[in-house]
Amino acid sequence: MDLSTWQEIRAGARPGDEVPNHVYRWVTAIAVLNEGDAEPDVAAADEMAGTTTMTLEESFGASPGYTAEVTTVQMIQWFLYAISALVVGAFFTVVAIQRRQEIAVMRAMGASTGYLLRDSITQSVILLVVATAVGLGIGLALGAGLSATEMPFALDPSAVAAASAFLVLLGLVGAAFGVLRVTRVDPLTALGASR
Amino acid sequence: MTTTTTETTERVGLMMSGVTLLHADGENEVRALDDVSLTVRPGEFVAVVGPSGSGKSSLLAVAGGLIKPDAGRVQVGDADLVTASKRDLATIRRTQIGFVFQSANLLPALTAIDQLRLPLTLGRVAEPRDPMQMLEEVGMADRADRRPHQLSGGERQRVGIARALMTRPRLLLVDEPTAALDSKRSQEVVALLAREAHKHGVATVMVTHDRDVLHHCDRVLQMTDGKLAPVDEV
Repeated sequence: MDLSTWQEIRAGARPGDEVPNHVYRWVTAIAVLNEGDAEPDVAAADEMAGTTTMTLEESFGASPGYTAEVTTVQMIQWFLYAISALVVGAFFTVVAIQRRQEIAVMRAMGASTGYLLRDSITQSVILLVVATAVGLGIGLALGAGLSATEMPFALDPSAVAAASAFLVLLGLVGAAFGVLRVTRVDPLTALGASR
Repeated sequence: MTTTTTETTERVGLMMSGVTLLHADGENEVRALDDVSLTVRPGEFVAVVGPSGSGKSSLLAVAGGLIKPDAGRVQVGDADLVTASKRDLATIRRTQIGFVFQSANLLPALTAIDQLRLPLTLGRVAEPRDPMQMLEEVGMADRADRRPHQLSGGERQRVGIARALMTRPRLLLVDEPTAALDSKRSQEVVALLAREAHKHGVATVMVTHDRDVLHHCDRVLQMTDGKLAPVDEV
């Protein structure tokens, strides 16, 4: 089949029908199956047929609106990552402030900075992992709900795993700001009236 | 009950000599502790009275290795608190010193029995006491599973005292233990302190302004403007 026949078919024209000229200027996609091990001579094929060869990703990008939309969604994703780190950091800072008296008592009792850091980091890791697991559960449930409708929807396990790991990692960075406050608590605060 | 063998009577609970602590108060320098000397034998229960701001808290902070004095010597057992590094001080506090705080300062999330286990989890302890036995000793065995908010002020203070004794410290420092208690509970708590100090041979310093509990103490000292002097009235 030559290219013009394909273009006529794609335009919905029957053999012998008049077709407008623009039909011959446009082809959205042709997938070529390469059998055998030899690398196809893509450049020579393009030369012969007067086409441009692209990878799948590039051809998506060439379609109008696709790049803009994907960039927007990706930006939302990155902002959400950044916000999650900020929220987690704020959360653990509040926790550290609320535990000040408690930490001061433990310091007065002779708890080393290393002990208190280990203690706080363990708490953060447990909280972060549990929180991520809960979020993951809700996400997967919503995804399953969506898959049941006509909307095409797929969750790639590797992408989900990467996002979860990244969330925990960013959360730890955020938590570090709160946890480090532990090292600055003065055990003297434990003496005198409780504040 | 005082210690009888010569070896233990020679041992020091707390030894402070010529201790001076300066405090910056605006432009002036205030002597929070002014050439304070105090020796407390193992098993001796000493009370320090004085108005607020007289330096009582500073005395506890210095004796407990929380602040280093500007001059003088401080010794708890065999440990010199003035030359010790910050890290060593934490270890000395953990193994040699017990604190009883004003409002017991128990950790809100822990049950009474877990409060007593806490000092043993902070690091290696040579001869830890048994938490349940210790709770029994302060009359709190039946409240072992209660959390601080389920205990009365006096009960919290009892748990606090038991917690401070878990590591068999040489020195027990008690900060206003009766501040939040009525007079009956105050008597009970201070009597308990005296009993524990004598029984376990731990040098005990209690800071208080509650003069009604002083008859439980072996010795009473008065703190005025950073100076420490004996009191005869008890």
